[in-house]
Amino acid sequence: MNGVHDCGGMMGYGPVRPQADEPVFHANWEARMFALMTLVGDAGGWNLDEDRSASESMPPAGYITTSYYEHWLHGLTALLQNHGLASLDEITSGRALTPAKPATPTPASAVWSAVTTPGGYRRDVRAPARFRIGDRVRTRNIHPKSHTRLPRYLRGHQAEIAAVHGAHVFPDSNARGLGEDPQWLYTLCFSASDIWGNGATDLIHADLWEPYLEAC
Amino acid sequence: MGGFTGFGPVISEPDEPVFHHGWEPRAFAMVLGMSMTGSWNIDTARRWREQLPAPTYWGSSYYEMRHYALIDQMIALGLITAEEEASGHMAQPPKPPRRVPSAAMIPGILGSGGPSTRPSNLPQGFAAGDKVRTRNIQPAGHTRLPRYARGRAGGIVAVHGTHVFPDSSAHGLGDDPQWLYTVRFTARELWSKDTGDAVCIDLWEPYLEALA
Repeated sequence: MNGVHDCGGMMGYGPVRPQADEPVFHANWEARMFALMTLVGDAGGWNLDEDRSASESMPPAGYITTSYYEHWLHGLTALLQNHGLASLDEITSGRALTPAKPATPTPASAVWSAVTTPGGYRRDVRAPARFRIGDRVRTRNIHPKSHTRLPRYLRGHQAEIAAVHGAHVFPDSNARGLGEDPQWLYTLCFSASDIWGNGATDLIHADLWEPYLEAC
Repeated sequence: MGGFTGFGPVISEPDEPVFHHGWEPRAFAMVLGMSMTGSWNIDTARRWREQLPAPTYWGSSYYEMRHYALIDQMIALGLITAEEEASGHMAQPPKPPRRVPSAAMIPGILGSGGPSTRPSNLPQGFAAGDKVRTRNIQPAGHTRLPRYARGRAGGIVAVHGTHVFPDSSAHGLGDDPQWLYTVRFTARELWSKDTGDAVCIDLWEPYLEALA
């Protein structure tokens, strides 16, 4: 969806101010939020793309005025309801009101490896890659109402294939619970001048899936 | 925000009042009253609203946003200080405004509607029926060319004469009148949707280039 999370090219946010010796968490509830999302996600059976999609669907004014882990809280609250693990009344009251749906919690001994082992999204597909390194392609001008990894500012622009990464889980499908539908993944190289019309010689690289692309 | 999704439906309010809170007419009167002092023009006021920090803008209602921008403008022009705004009391003599409208002047000011037509010797670059492409500009200041219509092909459907160019006027750089056109874009061109819909936008000539 063309939500406020897709802020590439937007102005008015002011400078990024790095914090010296920034702690991993700024408040205790953030660590708790992190743990909840990681472990309830395992038990709930949703995937990373669904998780991102749930955070992005926060109402825009709320999204832009809240912090990173507040976005996660919104996402988790939606996912718990969507998957029948808790009702809004239960989340609000903090008490179980109906018998819990059975779920298998992650044992404490498995938590650290679950958090630190990156998930694998590479999948084997039969279809050959449509593009090769050096090919010129154009991104499609799509405006899906659901989750996508093609940012607005890179739509309808020409680019060159800079790397071919094999087939990977396609987030636009996986986020909607429609299956992994693996698709070829490429790194595309865009000219910043083409994107912003400013004559800059910078390059922009983005990892994009084959359904976002067409030959030009 | 053209093209953004996620705002939910527009819920129309039956018998909607002009103002929803007692402070709203006061905020409106302050904004209107200060604009009548000639301290700024409509494009400048829009620029100040748009350059509110993004979280402030998105998190505010219409009159909140106008109020915050008014305060920023008055502080920037030295008409009040940040301390005076915070305390609600004058701490130093106010800088004189350009004009102080009397009650008798108000109907005339409101009635004139602030026309933006201006004479210009610039030749008219396009005519109705011409195909054009909007420039892919990303100005840090005010512009009336929305993001979703940049770098897009469209057709001129009306020519409105020469008008104040907001991109100049908003920054105190003068009226710089430019030819103004209504440009029609298909939904296919903007959104890759074959709905048969079209969007017509009033755009100034510096936003446009001829489409070969």
